[in-house]
Amino acid sequence: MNTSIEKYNVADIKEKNKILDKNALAMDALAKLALQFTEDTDYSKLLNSLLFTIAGQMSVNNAFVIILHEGDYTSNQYYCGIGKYKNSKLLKSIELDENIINFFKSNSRPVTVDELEIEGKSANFLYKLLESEVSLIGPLVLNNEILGILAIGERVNKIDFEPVETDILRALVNSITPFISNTFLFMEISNINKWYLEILNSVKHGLFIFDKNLKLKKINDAGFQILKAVKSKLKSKSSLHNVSMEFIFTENTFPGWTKMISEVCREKTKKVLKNLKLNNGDQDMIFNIAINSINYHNSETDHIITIDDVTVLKESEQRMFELEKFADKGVMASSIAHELNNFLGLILGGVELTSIHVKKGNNEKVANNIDKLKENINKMQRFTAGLMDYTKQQTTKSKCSLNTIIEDVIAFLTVQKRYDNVNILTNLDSRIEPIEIDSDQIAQLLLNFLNNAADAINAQQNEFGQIIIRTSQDENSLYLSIEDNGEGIKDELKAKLFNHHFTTKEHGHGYGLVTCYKIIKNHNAEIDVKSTLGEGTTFTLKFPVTHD
Amino acid sequence: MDKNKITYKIINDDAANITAGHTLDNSNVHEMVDIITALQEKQYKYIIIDMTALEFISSAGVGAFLGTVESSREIGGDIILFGASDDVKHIFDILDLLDYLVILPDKETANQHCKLNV
Repeated sequence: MNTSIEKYNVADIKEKNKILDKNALAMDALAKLALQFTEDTDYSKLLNSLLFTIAGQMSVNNAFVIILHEGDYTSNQYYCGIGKYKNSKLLKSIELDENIINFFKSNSRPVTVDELEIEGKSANFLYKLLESEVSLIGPLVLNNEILGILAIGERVNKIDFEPVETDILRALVNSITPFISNTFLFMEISNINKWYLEILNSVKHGLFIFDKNLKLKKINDAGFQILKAVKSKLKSKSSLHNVSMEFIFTENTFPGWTKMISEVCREKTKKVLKNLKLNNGDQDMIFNIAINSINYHNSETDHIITIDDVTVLKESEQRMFELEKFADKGVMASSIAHELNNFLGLILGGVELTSIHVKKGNNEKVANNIDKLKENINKMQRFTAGLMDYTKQQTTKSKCSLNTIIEDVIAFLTVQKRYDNVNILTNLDSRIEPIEIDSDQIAQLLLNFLNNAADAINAQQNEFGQIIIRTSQDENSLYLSIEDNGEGIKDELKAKLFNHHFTTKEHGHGYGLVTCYKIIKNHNAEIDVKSTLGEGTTFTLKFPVTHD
Repeated sequence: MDKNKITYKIINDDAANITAGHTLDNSNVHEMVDIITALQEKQYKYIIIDMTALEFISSAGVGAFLGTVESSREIGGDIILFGASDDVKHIFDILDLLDYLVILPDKETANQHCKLNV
């Protein structure tokens, strides 16, 4: 019996068994890694698992992996290390260039640092690897593209790596690379999802996304707050997921909303529903709702509902409206004071004359003066009656005669200097019915139109200025027109007439016609403008007539 | 009770004991690493791993000790493994780690190795 041969065989078999066991361990590790990569989405944890597995399999203390961003090897890399590379500055400082990438494209096997044959800027990379005692380095290859690089430190048992071991490492890395790629994509998708959720939640409008069956897919924070404002018992956004629109915008809280919105959704068009009101128990709230439908995957449709709480805006508009009235009042204050002084001068003079005639005992002249005084006082009374209550907040309508309002306003105006060269004529249809209007607002409307007409006439320096006010009525409407022979309005300016701050006057503020437009809207009236430059302008208002 | 649960106990200012569960692989290697790292950060020099219940250790499980052991050795300590079954020891053997890692038969030997009077 040849004992030396027998000894050699036993050792050889033991060594072969060890390699087989090591391969089996690698296969087991690979299977477990693959399973983990398909079940877990924590990218950092997964890469750590890969590194710990490789550390165990290759008997090393230290390993790291750098994942590259496509098309950009020098920035935004994702890196992960264990052992001495865990918090190593090396990983943050590594810059990969085309030389390194090209090297690994042509050498997909893990290589020792000594085997790296790269030039140029890459020398710095090589120096850092040597300094950090990197032993083996290899690429993570997927579809001939370099997804990243993996490196390990020196073996703990100081035994050189056998070719079979680098093959195991290569097999492990190549097998797991597609999973890394997928997980990286999942992570990117997850980040994009978080990013888009942050964007949704930073939008100050309420955003509701419904699917084709009008079930809620997504709601942002502002949307949830709108619902919370009227449904205080709502606890979380997640509880609303997949809930039907009719349960989101319930009929008793959002009357008519679901019907209106769903109709637009069915048409798959873009539409804005304005000034939808609801009451949250404490106050009226006003919303504008924009509806848009988007298609994806050719067949699926989502409906994007954007809800803008315009309550505060509307309140501001109302306040602006009131401020405009005060502004008008301020502009008019000086001329009113002037006119009142005129009246008071006349009255004072009349009183003094009467006093003289009383002393002289001339009763006939006294009576005559008192009549004139009464007439002036009446004029003054009508003048002051023509002034509106500017401080009123709301439109208060009552049955009024439009003709009477016109006559009162004219009485107030004719004594103003602005009308010195203006002859105001009326052609008022005595058959028109009293209509539901806010007499103060209509008076203000008339004032603005008439003042503008007078200014247009004065700007024309027309000594024979003329304003004609007409009223008429048909079955459904009552018409009021104001015609002047002033300078007229250029065509391109007509569309801007009712915009804020639009004025053609040197000292104008542009609020007058905006106020008029607001009053017209308050009365559901319509306005038509006809103007010829150099000849004059006619504004025609059409008020709806309701028949009791 | 979770058979793979990893628990730890502080022995004294220098040493702590970690008890492994039935398996140590990808599923719980992070837990093991987190505990070891936390104890190392608190300057426990000796981390004694009780492997009495451990039936299976994967490459990742081995990697957990390899990836952390140097930190203990840098501060004059070590990671001491004891109670490993033959199957577990075989894994360390095929990876040529029996001489690198301190693998002792039982708790007493492990404690003596650490010169502990516990």
